[in-house]
Order: sequence, then structure tokens, then C-alpha cells
Amino acid sequence: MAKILIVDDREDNLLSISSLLEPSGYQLVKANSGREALKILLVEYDFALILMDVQMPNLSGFETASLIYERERLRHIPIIFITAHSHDEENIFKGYKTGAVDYIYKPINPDLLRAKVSVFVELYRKNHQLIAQEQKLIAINKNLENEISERKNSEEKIKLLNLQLLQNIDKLEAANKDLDRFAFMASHDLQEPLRKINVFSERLDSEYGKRLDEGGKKYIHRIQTATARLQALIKDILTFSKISIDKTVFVNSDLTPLVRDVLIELDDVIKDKNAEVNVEQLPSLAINPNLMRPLFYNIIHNSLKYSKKDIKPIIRIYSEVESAQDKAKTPETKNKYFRIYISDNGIGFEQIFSEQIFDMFKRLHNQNEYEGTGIGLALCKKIVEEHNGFISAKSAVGEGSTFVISLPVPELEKITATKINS
Amino acid sequence: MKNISPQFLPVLLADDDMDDRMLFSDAISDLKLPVDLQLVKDGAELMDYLLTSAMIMPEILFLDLNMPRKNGFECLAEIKNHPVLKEIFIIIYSTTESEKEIDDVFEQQANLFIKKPNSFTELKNILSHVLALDLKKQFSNQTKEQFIFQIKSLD
Repeated sequence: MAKILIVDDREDNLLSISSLLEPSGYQLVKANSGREALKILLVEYDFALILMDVQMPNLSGFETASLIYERERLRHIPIIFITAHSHDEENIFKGYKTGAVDYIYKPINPDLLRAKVSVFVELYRKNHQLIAQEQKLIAINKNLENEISERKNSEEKIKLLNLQLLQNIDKLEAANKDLDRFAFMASHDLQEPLRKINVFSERLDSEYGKRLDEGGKKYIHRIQTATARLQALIKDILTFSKISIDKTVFVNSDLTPLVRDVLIELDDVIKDKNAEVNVEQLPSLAINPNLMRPLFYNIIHNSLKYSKKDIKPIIRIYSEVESAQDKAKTPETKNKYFRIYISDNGIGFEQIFSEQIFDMFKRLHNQNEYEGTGIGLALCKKIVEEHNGFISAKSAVGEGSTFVISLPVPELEKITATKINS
Repeated sequence: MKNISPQFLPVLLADDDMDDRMLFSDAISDLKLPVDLQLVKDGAELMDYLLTSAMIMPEILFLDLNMPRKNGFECLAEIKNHPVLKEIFIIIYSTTESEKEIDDVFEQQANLFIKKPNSFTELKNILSHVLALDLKKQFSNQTKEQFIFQIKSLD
């Protein structure tokens, strides 16, 4: 509730004004001299209004008012002078000069007093509201400023991190290329001694085989088998590591004849297994034919290799275009993709292994059941990724497998540009 | 073989690998081919033999590519630039699978490319085919595919 200071040297005046104002619920503080008023105002200054008698001994109302308004903190407090000299113009003027706000004349009209007091109290209240709001706004502003500078800092940090990320990507790519180069050189150098092992164990067999018993001959054959495996492994590692080393040239190619060529290469195996391979119309894309051929070769060869024993292998190769609207579950399907499916009716595998099989050297069978180096699918994955696509497999034991090669459509033009620059 | 041929076909092998020299020589003797085989173990020795010490000019040179001192590429260039030596039928005999290297020797006018085989039997097979042919007649004006020797491409 609003606080009002009443200053009058006469006790009865103080009393009558109080009794006039108390019912309105104001908090009243009384001072019976200018000096006392000033003392009070040293500690309390949240008054909405000061009612000041003009004629006071020692310090007059005007003098007190001047002293009050000397203090910065008190300048906002309105003063209503109470004076009996209603027609003394000189005094009225003096009153306004000291910064007083209003006069009220004795004898006091109670309604007039109450009306004026309520006006100033209302003013005080409104002022305070405004000040409070102003403070709030200032605080909000400060918060906003802080937020903005924090956000700017974060942006700077993100830019820095991005830069680091790009640099790290470059380093990783360089490291990967180094690894590939190493794998290539190592495999290359391993081929020579391997060839010698082959040649001499074969000569051992043909020229001295008669002098050996069954056991000896068996050992020679084991050596030859192991050597053949090693050679296959090295050949695959060489092919794998060459992919990132060689400059990739993308050419717009029709995949249908490319796949048919691969089938010609596999002709012996196809005839041997009495397999049926159906190739439907495949798209034309910008691809590297030297990489696409081994990709299809590996997958189709797998389908033939892992066929069911006494059932005619049937392999179907077909394609689809999938755009952002269809099944856009993963971020990869944001752009348009060609999907090429190679599905077979072979022995299949458990779906939980569907990602593992693309790992290097990962096999689901051992050498006795099905031969293999464990590199074929890793090679396929690398080739597809070189084309900015991805590969996946769907299968169930005993129910055949479907391999899906997804290749992006327009992006490939950008690949050519980046490859030329690298 | 040519009309005025010596009793034995003079063949020269330049290969730095001791095992490969032995295998080649064994293959020739196993096949009992009428071949007079000379062996040199690097490019410098090869050029020296051809330019100074050879008694009879070899008709066929089997040339390895990776040799110390002077390698096969350099020898090939020198021989094909020599007025007399350029008539020698040069067979590049190497393990390389590099397309670039095969292109190079084809450009340099080597006559044939044979990839070192993986087995002794295969080596004998290749040599018995190649050395029985009239090479200059069989392998002239070839495309690069014909340049790379394959047994099944013979009729």
C-alpha cells in the first residue's frame, strides 16, 4: 500500500490529515518538522507523496522541499504544499520554483485532499509499474544479448570443428590410400615366391612323384592346395587395393550388355551347374565398367557357388528406380536411386549375418564346404561405395538370397568432377 | 623356321632370376627341342653379348623386364634402334600384369608377350607351341590382344 509522508509542525494538523487519509488505507508517516522529515527521508524514500505544510518554524516547507530535491533519490517524490495563504502569489511561485507539484489550501476540503492524493498515488503506482517493466525489459535484453553472443561462439566453434572434420577426412582418405598402396605392393611382391613354390612343387610331383609313397605324394598335394589358396587370396587383395589407387573413369554405360558379358565369362560354371540366369532390362548409368564387371561377376558367381545341391539354380537380375517418396526411412534414400537386384534360389544365410558378410575375410562356411577367400563381397562393397552407392543383402537359410545394389542417379556427375581433381 | 636355318635354333634368354633360367633350360631339354640356348642374367650382360661376344645372332630373344643394371625396357629400345639387332624376334617374358607396362612394350615394337606361367608343365606347353611356329609369319601386324600370347588363340 502506498506510503505518504505528512510534514506539519502542529500536532493537531497532523492528526486531522491522518484521519482524513487513513480510511483510504494509505500507510502514513508523520514528521513534525522539516528537519525530522529530512531525517526520515535519509532512510526511507519509497514515499508516493509528501504532504508538506508551508509555515513551519526553523525550516519552512519551501526550504525543506529544496533540501529534499537536492537529493537525486528523492527528486521523483511529488510534494503537495499545504498553505493558508491562498492568494499569496509570490509564495505560489516560490513553491513551484522549488519543484513542488501542487498546492492545497487551508481549510482543507477533505474530498479535494483525497482526490489529489489518490491521483498522485495512482501516478506513483503507474510509475513504479513502468520502472519494473523497464527493468524487466533491460534484463530480457541482457539475456538476449548473452544468448546471441553464446550462439555466435557456438557457431565459431562449429565452424572450427567442421574444418577439423574436413581435415581429418582428408587425412583418413590419405591413410586409406596408403594402406591400399601397401597392400598392393606387399601382395605384388608376394606373388613371385608363390609362383616358384607352385612351379617347384609341381615338378617335385611330376619328376619325383614315382619315388614317393602315398604319404609323400599327399603332402605335395597339400602344399599345392595351400599355395593355390594363397594365390587366390593375394590376387583378390591386389584387386581390392587397386580400386582406390587407380584413377576412376566414369562412363555412361548400359548395364544390360555388361552383365551379359559377365555371364559369358561365367559360361563354364553356368553350364556345369545347369543354371538358368534371367537378365531383365537394366538401366544405363555413369559407371566404371572395369569395376562394375567384377562386381557382378562376384555376386553372380556366389549365387552359382552357393546353390542348393540337387536343385536347378535360378538367378534373376532385375532393377527398379526408387525415389524419395517410396519407403524414405533412412537418410540414404533422400535422392533418387537405381536398385539392381540379384536374387537366387540357393542355400541362403541367416539375415543376422547380412552385414557381416561384406567384411573383409568374413566367411560363413569353411574351406571344405565351399572354397573362397572371403574378399569377394568386401570387394563388391568397396566398388559400390566408390560409385557413391550402397549394397545390402536379404536372405533366410534354405530360401535363397537377394543382393541389392543401390546407385544414385544424378550425383554421379559430381563424382566424375571430384575424381578428376584428386 | 626359316629356310637357311642352322641345325639348332639360336635362342637367347635374358632373366635375372636363377630359378627361371634353370626352369627354362630344363623345359627346353625335356622337350628335346633343337634349340641352342644361351642365357644372360641382366640387361648389361645382354647388350654386351649381342654387341660384342655373340658368335651367332639369336633368332629369338626371351626378354625379362625387371632386371638390375639395365632393365628390359631399356634393352628393348636399344635393340629396336639398332640396324642389325632390330631383326631379332623379341618375346617379352615377364610376370607383370600391369596394363601400362604391356602397353609400353607393345608401343616399343616387341613382337610377343608371354606371361611367365605358374607351372612347369604349362611352360613346356607354351615353348613347344611357340618354338615350333614360323614366328615372323604368325605374329606380324598384330593388335594388342594378339600381342599377348594365349595358347587357345592358336589354331
